[in-house]
Formats: sequence, structure tokens, C-alpha cells
Amino acid sequence: MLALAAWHIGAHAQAVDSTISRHDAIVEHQSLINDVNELTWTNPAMKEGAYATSLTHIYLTAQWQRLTKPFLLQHGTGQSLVAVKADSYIRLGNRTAVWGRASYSTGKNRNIKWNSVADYDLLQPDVLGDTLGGNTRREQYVFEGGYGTHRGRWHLGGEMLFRAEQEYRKVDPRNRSIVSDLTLRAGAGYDIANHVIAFALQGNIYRQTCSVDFYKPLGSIPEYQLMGLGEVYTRFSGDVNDLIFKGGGIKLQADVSPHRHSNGVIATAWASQHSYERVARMLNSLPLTTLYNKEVGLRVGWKHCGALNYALWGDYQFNRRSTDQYLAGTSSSQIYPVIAHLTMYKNYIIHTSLTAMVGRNGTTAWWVKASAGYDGNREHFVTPRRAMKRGHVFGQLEGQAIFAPSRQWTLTTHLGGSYHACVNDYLLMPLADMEPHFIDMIKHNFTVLSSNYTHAGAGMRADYHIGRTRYSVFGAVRYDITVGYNRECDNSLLFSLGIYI
Amino acid sequence: MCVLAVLCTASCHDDRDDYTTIASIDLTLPDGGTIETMQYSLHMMNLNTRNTVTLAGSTHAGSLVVGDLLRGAYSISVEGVVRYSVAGAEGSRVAQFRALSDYVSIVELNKNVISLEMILMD
Amino acid sequence: MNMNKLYIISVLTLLLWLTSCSNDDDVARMVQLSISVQLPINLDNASLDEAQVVMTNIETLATCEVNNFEQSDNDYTATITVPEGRYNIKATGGITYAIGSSTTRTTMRAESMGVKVSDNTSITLLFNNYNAEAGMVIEEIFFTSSTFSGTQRPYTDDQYLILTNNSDHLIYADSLAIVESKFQTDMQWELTPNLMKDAITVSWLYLIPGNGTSVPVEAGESLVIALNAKDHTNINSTSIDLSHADFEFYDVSPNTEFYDEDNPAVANLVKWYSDLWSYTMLNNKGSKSYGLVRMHSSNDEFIANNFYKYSYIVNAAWGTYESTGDGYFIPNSWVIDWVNLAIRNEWAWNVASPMLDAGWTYCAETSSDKSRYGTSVIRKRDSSGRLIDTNNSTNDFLSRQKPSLAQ
Repeated sequence: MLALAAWHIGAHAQAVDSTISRHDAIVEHQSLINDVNELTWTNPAMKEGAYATSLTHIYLTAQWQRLTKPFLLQHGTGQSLVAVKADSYIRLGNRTAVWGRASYSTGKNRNIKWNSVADYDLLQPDVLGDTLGGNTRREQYVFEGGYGTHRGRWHLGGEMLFRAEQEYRKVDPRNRSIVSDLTLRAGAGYDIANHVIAFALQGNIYRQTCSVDFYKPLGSIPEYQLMGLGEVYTRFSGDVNDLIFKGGGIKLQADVSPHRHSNGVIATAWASQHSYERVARMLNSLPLTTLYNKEVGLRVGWKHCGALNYALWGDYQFNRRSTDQYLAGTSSSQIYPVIAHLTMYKNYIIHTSLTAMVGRNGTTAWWVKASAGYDGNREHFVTPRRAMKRGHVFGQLEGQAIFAPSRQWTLTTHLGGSYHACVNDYLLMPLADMEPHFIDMIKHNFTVLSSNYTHAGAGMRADYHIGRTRYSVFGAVRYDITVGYNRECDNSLLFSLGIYI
Repeated sequence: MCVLAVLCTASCHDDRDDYTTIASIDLTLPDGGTIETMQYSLHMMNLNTRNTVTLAGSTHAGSLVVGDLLRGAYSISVEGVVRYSVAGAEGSRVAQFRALSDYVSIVELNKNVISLEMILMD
Repeated sequence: MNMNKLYIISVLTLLLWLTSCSNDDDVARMVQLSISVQLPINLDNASLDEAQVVMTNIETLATCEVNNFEQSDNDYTATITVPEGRYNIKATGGITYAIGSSTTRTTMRAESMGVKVSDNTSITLLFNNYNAEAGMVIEEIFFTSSTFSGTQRPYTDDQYLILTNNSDHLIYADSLAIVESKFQTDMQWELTPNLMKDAITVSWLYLIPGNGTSVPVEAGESLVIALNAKDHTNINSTSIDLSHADFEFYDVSPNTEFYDEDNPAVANLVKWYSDLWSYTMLNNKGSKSYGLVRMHSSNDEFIANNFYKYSYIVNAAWGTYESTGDGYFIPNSWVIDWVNLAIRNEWAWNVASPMLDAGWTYCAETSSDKSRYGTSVIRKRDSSGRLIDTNNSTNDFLSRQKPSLAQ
């Protein structure tokens, strides 16, 4: 339905934009230079000024990923996903824009181990896991919509994002996770000296139910309440297999960006805090742990528009994740009182980088982007003491070219690569007190996370503009490869086919 | 930007870093009696993590102090040998003993006092 | 310089400074540690030899051994230098002490887990003269025997015991012995000397033969010890097929009317001692108790060193009388597992230290209870399938159960 609405509105919008060619619209929306503003445009007050042209895509994608060996055991050895998607950015005149996205995807994840929940990257390390694992099936629905406008010097915008997802397995251990994730954003900005200065507030509500069942009476294995670096909440591990994760958070953001086609300062600063509580439903909703995720970030740079466009910016992001463990007292009729809670797990993640980009738009548009930086990750469990640390310096180079070999065709090509070198790593585990399969899991993940790795990717998109109609069809293919420890590879192939207006 | 950083650091959640506390385990003889010497082997198992702390030694009192103990719920087992005297009886006696508790809460920040009665095995 | 460029450079410098460069790689420093090993004060004339302490660093798995100790009364101390950290500490030692008028030597153990070692730490280890070897336990004793089909007449040949490896590692059962208590739980004696706090007194001892690695028992696996290893169902349809037992009792009986049978396909236990005149049977009322022992001497040494005499007073319903007796003792520290059996309504006392077994289990309600036949005592299992062993048979065993080997 959203696609139909987008098509209808798009037809109207196209009438407004009729003087702008479809090639120019592709260049504007697909250009690599948009990476400069990728953070400021998360502020709905800023996004109204993102594009001068409308563009609506409706398309199918098929993604295939295969790893020769699992990198992270919890991520498995690959996935196969197909999806139908619609995304749209529509200008309703010079002052107002609406945008939206809808998608349905389904597919399979392979060989997931030590993780029986969905959204592992969000909830780790406080997940439920077992030693057996297996393939899982996955379905996801996404709906997003936003509105932005400016009146005089004031800019206003609002956005809603909703994601529903389920992940499940049809053989023992039969996990089933159902996710609902709602985010609301509101922003306001003001024009000052050729720039827009804006603030945004974001709220998020998150919920996931997760259960693991065993149909074979003698085939059950323990499900572990993992707490980080192989530590287990032993008392409630084994057969406490019915959990709820509930939480959410807020984010505050401030942005500065020059007007479209103007030179100026690009800056975004944000701070957020999210928390996710793990609750055991079968123990009368006993909270087991709460994960706190605090983040601050800063991007500052300069953007120049002219015969040759260039941009230079620096990024800093600091993420502090910690887990509070709830200590349970003695039970009465399966009701456990919480007698204390302690912050047992702490994780500090840092990302810093410097990026430079140069290029030009036009009938033939090209961009080159280079960046270098440092990624560090340090985590520890308080007692018994466990610690893991790794740091990588990286260099990255990307290039993009968009050109029109004829009036009917637009071709977009992309090529990139990066190298990450581990410059420090450290692992400390109470090996004498750990079971062998936990030691194997930690050592495997540490070996991967502390290795050097190389990434390369190439993609091409071909757009065919159908006669004098407002429709175009496109096809795209992208291939990525990451070579990591022991020369193990992660191969990913993505096909897209669709229409746009 | 500074306001945002302050907001983040002054957020609602503070770490709970008060991890450890002290536990004092007071052992008493059944039917009165005065402990003269006690050799003990103390096992404290954290019910949440199943980690066990063991402590052994000898004392002339019936009180064992365990410091630097992770706060939580524990099961406690003490066994050993006690030389004791009984009021009105001559001389002292020696007996092996056990003292058990399936659950004690050791979460107070200052001091946690646990009283256990010895079970004489001889 | 252009203000915009200066601004950018300042910001970039700030970004570089904010990059985490902290280094928390702990290089453990060497610290001094004092280890004190104590002998139990309830052992008479005790002395320690061949003491060894092994410390395992929990994080690095590096080990450190200490063998040289200085004696000061009951304490043996050593001072060493080790890397700071957390350790699991295990001590073993040969302890010679007196039991009654005899002297015995046994290997004792002590351990402390998760010990934090920092500068000038002192650790004390207390040797325990009860040495339950985490592992082999008596899982079942079918002592009541079956009855002849359709009758209440006992068929006494199909008694058996099941020994199980309750650990998670391989155990060799060679040199494990099955013993029966000398004294009965339904008849309390005032003994002089009473060695129970230090030793058990046995009426017979049968050893599992081997050279030390002849009888491997994997984790979770069991040994069936039959009093008579044959298919008893051929004689009595309600009985049990024990022809595939792992070991059997075999006695060359001097009584020609009551002789034992030998199944050549089943290895015989080695008889070290028995005060019975005929072939061995388990007490089918449950008045005797049974144990599993790890022998630390040869047969000849046991016979020579473990004999003792005692006197006793019996307070019976018909009066009080004194008598004397003799028997062979086995130190409690040699006992791996002990199960007190009793007649439920006639229990008088336990015939071993409460440290070995604080309770008892049963099949018979009274000494004339014929419903006991065909029932067994079987050890309970926890939710993970492990056998429960809290050294209290009242809690650890299920009474009056159908024998696990019965069809």
C-alpha cells in the first residue's frame, strides 16, 4: 500500500520536478558525496533539504552470503535473503518533503551457534545460547515514514520507524524470537548564516520475546544465560528458556549543515542511552540482567561546492556498554526476590577516523573517498576476572562513477577496499574454571576479532529510462569479499531488480 | 555538544560498583560449650555463579571472617575438628563437626553476620 | 591562517587525543606467599611426610609445586614466590597416625579454590581424614534377594551391588574393595576402644583385582558385582539374570553342604578377609552396612597391621552382658563411599562415622517383614542425571525399589 501511495504521490511530485532529468535525480540520490550528510540527515528537520529531486524505488533483492568458516560463531556462516522493498523521497514543492520506506524480507541464517535470540549485535553479550545451534529462518517487516518542512528560517520534521521481525528454527533446539522495535524522531532547526542549525530528539521502544523448546524428550541441552566473555548466569541456566527483552532509550542530536550547493561546516553531535532488560518469564518475570548502552559521537568537517567538490571531516564515536546482573535470593513458590544488583560487565568501543572526499556532479559524476582511522574495543567481566581487548588501524579507499552512455541509460559503478590491521590485543580468561566448549568459543572469537582483515567490494547499477514515460527500470549487482584470519573468506552477493519513478 | 556530553554522562543509570563485602560466620556449639581450638575448612558457594570460595585455618574462637567476598546469595559448609570444653565437665573434648546452610544472603555493604550451629559428628 | 582551516585542525587534534590508548595488559608481578598445611588435631601422634602442594594459576594454567615444608607442631609451612593472581590449590600428603593401639598411614588431601594471591598472602590448608574420592559410588544394593515364584520363600543367590563412576573422568576400579560392617545397625554396642570416628570395622573385604589400570570405568559407567554371576531366571523365573556381571564373589567353602558356584566367564573378586564360615551373602534384612574402600596396603600388610581386639557391652531386651571380639579396621580416610542399611523400626545406631554417612536407608520395616524380598535400595539422580551423594543415605537413596536389573 505504501508503494501505491508512493507511486501516486510520486506522479504528482514528478509533475512538479518535470524539468529535472531522471539521470540527475539518480546522480543526486546515489552520489557518494551524500556520505558527508549521512548523520545530519537522520535529523528529520534536516532531511527536508537533502535532495532537490524526488525518487521512488520499488524493487526486489536477493542476497547471498557465505563464509568459509564462521567469523563470529554467533553470526554463523552466512545467509540467504530475498526481499521486496519500496523506498521513496518525494518533494512536495520547495518547502516540504516526505519520505518513507517499506520492506518485507525472508530468508535463512546458517550455522548460528551460541546465540538463540534475534538482534544479537544489539543485545550481546546478554543473550541466550547453546552449544548446538543451527540454521534459522528469518522474516522482517519494516515501515518508515517522515515529513519535513521549512517556513521562513525555521525547519521542522518528524519521522517514525517500525521494525517487526521473527527468527526461528524448526529442529531442536527450537528457538523462536519475535521483535518489535519502534523509533520516533522529531527535529527543529533554524537558518543562520547560510547554515541550518538543528536539534533532534529520538525515542525508542524495543521488545523481544524469545523461547527455546526441545521436542525430543532426551535430547535437550542446557541453554546458557550468557553474560559476556563466556561468563554464565549459572543459577538460571539450563532450562530457563523463556525470556523477554524489553527496553528502549533516547537520543539527543545537534546538527549543523550548509544549505544545498553551499560551502560550509558539517557537524553532528549526539548522545544516547538505551537499556535492555532480560526477564525470565517462567520465574515470575524475574529480571536477570539489564544491558546499558551509552553513546556519544561527533562529526566535524567542511564541505566545498564548486567546479570541483570536496569535503573533509573527522569522526569520533565512543560507546560504553555495561551489564547489571540482578542477584536473586531464595525462592518461595518460584518467586525470587532481587537482593542486589551489580555492574559485572563493561565494554568500551571507540571509533575515530578522518575522511577526505573529492569529485564532481554532472552528467558524468565521479567521486573518490579516502579515510583512515582507529577502531578499539575493550571489554571485561569484573569477577571472576575476564578481559578482552583489540584495536585496529584501518585505511579505506572508495571510488564511484555515474555516467550516461546514452539518453536512455544511466550506469553507476562503485569500487572500494579497506585494510584493517590489529595493533593491540589482549585476552585474559579463568581457564582453570571454564568448561572446554566455552574456552573454544572465546578463543575462536578472539582469534577472529584480533586478526588483520582486508575488504573489497564492487558494484554496478544500470538504469534504463523507458521512453518519455516517467518510469525507469534498473538492475544492480554488488559483490563484497572480506578475507580475515587464516585467509578465511566472507563472500556476499546482492542482486536488485526494480522500477523507479 | 557539551550539553549533550553532560546529559549523557549524567544519565539515569549509575554503575553499581560495590562488589565486595565482609562476612562473619559465627559457629556455636550445641548445648553451650566453649570452643578452645577449631580447625576449619570453609566452603562458600555463590548460588548465582556456582563459584566456590574455600578457606581453611585454625582459630581459638568460633568466628570466621571472610573479606573481599562478592555480594550475593551463598550456600555455606564448614567442616573440621573442634576442641571444646563443657561447663561442669572436666577436661576438653575433641570432635569432628559440620555446619551447613543452604542459603544465606550476603549483600549488606558493611558486614554480614551469619550464625551457624555446629553438628558434632563424633 | 584561514579560520575555518584552523578550526578543522583543532578538531582533528582533539579527535586524536580522545583516541583510547590505555594499556591495561596486566603483567603479573611476583609476590611472596606463605603456605601452611595443618594436620587435624583429632589425630593421635600424627606426622606428615611426602607433602606436596600444587598451585594452578586460574588464568594462565601455569602450575607451581611446593615440596619442602618446615614443621612447627601441627603446622607445616613453606614460603614461595609466585606471580600474583588467582589460584586453585591442592595438597596431598602421607599422614601416619594412631588408631587404637595400631599405627596407620594414609594419603590425605586438602584443597582451596579461587584463592587470591597478592603480596604477603598467607594460605592455610587443612588435611581432611575423610577422603571421599569424587567418583565411584555405590549406586544400588540388592541385598534382600528374590523369592521363589509364587511363594514367599527367599531365593538368596541373586544379590548384587552396582558401583558407578559418578565423575566426569575415567576412574580405574582396581584395588577398590567392597566391605561389610562388622557391627549391626539394629544392635548397639558400647565398644572399647570405639574406633568409629577414625575407622570402620569389617567382617569381610573383597578386592577388585588388577594391576592398576586393568578395570577402567568411564564416566557414568557402572560395574555389576554379583554374589553369584549366573542366569538365575533359569531356576527362578522371578529372579535376575546376573550372568553378565562384571565381577562375582566366589568362596571356596569348607562346608560341603553350602558351596559357592563359580562362573568362569566372570572374574572373581579377590578375598582378603572374611569372618564367615560359609560363602558370602549380604545380610538380607539390612542389618549390616556396606562400603567401597580404596586399599592402601597389601593383603599381608592389612592382615598384619589392621587387626585389633575390642570389648563390648550389649544392652539387649533380655539384659546387659559383656563380651569381647576382634576384627579388622580400615581408616575412614580409605573409605570412598559408605551406605548405612537398617531395619526401619529396629534401627539402633549407625556403624560408621557420620562423616562417612550421616543417615541410613532400608528395605525391611521389621526383621520379619517378608515384603522386603525383591526390593532394593537405589541412589537418587539429580535433574542433570548425576547420582546424588551428600554422604547421607537417608537423603541420597530411594528405599524399597524394584531392582534395576530385574525384568
